[in-house]
Amino acid sequence: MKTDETTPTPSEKSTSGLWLTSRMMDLLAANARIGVHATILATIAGLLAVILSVATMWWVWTQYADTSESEAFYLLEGDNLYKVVQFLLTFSMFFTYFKGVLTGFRAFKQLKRSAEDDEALLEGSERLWKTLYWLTLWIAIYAVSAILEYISLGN
Amino acid sequence: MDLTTLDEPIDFTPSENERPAGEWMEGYWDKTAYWARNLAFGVFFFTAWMFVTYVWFLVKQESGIRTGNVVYLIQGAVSELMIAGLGYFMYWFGVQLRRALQNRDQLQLEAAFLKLRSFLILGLLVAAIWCVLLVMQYYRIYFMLKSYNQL
Repeated sequence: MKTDETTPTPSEKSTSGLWLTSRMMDLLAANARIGVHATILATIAGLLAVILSVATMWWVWTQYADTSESEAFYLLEGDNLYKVVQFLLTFSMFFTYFKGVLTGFRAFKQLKRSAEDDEALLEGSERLWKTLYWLTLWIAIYAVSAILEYISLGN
Repeated sequence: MDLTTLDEPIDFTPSENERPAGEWMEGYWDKTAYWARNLAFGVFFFTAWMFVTYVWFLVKQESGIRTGNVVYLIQGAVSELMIAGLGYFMYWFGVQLRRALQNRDQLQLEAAFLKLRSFLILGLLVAAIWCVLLVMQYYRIYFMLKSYNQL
């Protein structure tokens, strides 16, 4: 039997690097199983929250719409600018949240298959950092929105 | 009998069928560590903001914290702890992953992914509670509209 002399035996292998050990692969698969369920629930909760939020926004706007004056819309009049910015921020939050959660769902689905598929392992790992990136953007937009709300309450 | 915890490996020696993670995986883990810490800081901001608005809400109420608000207090404290827990696990996931990459430490790497598992379990719980609270909110709105003959 031919043996490859360049391949180290287990005892010769250096342990100084990072390895895809069987324990590590088990951990990734276990994380992926929980992650798939968590992202499905997060998507359902997100959808329920978006419907409620849009309905509330619509109701408030129709109840408190200023119809006494002319129909012309001026951005710098009253709190129109604040309302428009908040509206845009809210929709950016929806977008980044769902982008993050759905990327996470795809990442965990691929990581579930990572033990037998190298391509899935690499793509899943790439999508995992992208999930964190989108969720960080979501929470950053939330922070801007909350600070704006605080400033508007102060005025 | 020698008792060792199941969560922490006591030694690391790669077996024959195990292989190095490689440059690409380490590159992805590096980015994961960076964004995990950023996300954790965001979650900590969210927790602090929730706390401030919650205290403000309680102080503004005339009856204050004295009567009838015990349920709100418990609900607030539990949700604060849960969200802060998410930030805690995500922060340590990022920190341990970064340390693993810097020190080429396999045990830190596995410990980091254990933190991610804790984050996901808590995340699952938070998402489930969030769903239940939202369904309750829908139910309340439905009855409110029904009582005003809007439906």
